[in-house]
Amino acid sequence: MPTLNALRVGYIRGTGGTNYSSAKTNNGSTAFDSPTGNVSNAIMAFFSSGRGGGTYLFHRTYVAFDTSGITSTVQSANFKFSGHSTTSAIGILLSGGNGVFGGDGGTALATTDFNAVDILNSPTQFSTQFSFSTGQNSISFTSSGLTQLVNQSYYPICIVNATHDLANNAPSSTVQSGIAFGTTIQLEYELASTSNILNLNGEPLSNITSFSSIILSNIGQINGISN
Amino acid sequence: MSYLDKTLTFESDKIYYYDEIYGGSFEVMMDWEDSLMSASATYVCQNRGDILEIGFGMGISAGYIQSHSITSHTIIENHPDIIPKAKAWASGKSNITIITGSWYDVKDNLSTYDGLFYDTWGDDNMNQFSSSLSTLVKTGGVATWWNTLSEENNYYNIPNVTYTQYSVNPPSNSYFNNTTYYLPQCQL
Repeated sequence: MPTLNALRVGYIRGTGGTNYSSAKTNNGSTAFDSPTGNVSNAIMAFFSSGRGGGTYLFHRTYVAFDTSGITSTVQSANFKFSGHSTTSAIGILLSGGNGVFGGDGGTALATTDFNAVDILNSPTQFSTQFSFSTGQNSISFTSSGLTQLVNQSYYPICIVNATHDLANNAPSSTVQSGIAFGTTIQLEYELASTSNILNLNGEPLSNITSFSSIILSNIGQINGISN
Repeated sequence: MSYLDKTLTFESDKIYYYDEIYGGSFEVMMDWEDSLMSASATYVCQNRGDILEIGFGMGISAGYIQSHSITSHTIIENHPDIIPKAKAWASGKSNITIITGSWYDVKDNLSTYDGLFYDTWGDDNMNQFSSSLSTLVKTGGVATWWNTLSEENNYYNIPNVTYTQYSVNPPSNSYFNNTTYYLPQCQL
């Protein structure tokens, strides 16, 4: 199965504040470009109850891939990363916004990239919600994510806390999810199969699973035409 | 790690702690609030009688409450670094009772009061404050609390509250950065 290594990675610390929405939409306060170690709060929803109110802070992780080599339909794909020291948090992969990392992966992650994901305006979801694991995480892409793999040559992903950052649900305690950035983050994909045979004896190939009792996928060619 | 596990730093003008996960400091209380503490004390002591103060902090409001002619002054404090300071401050003052722990945990053992001032930090039970008011304050008694909202509204959604505005000029801090403070006034 073909695999792409991440072109560039990083995470951004938002700007803490007493207003929940502003903490999600203000520019970041610090950007960490191309980290190489274990980061225990690469994705975070922070809350401190404070003095008659509270303080909110969010961390988001961005990962970009060069997908220019993917030109045909992708049947399935997985986003693979190593977790680290996570709490019981729920994450989700979102379309990262094409301007991240300078729009081509050639520029360091910036604090202004924090809201490139446009969190309040229903960003495209590249995955369903998933639970972070401290081991290997392999997250399946949605059909929207697969379509954009083909349509875009530059493919930025943003990982956020699904419960408190994407959803409008203010945290009442801090949840954080870690990433072992020292392990290469990868995108593994499988292209949709193609065949030069459109039909057999008038029957569309998609309706046929075997021919002469042989499973179709085990047949290389029929009458000299490759399957 | 909760607020109660944090080591507090006491300086002449503030109490604060460093939060490793947040990557910065939180001021818990600062002396720029002095005039607000004075006004809050004046409000809750208007009926004199028995006063309940939840949260000792720097002891500013406690000092102002003591300056009024009240019958008793009960203070609840839960942070282990502040409790000794509250006890030391209360030493030799005859009408003060210091109760340690969470106000919510001890509320069923409390009396009812003529005045209540609620001002806490990192209070896991702050959402219970509104529903607890009527059991802590006598009918006709008054209550105020730290109001983090700079408007005629309050975080606890307590109804029938009036507000008095105070101009303030706080230095940048983690809990209040507006120039108008709306002191809530609630009569039970």
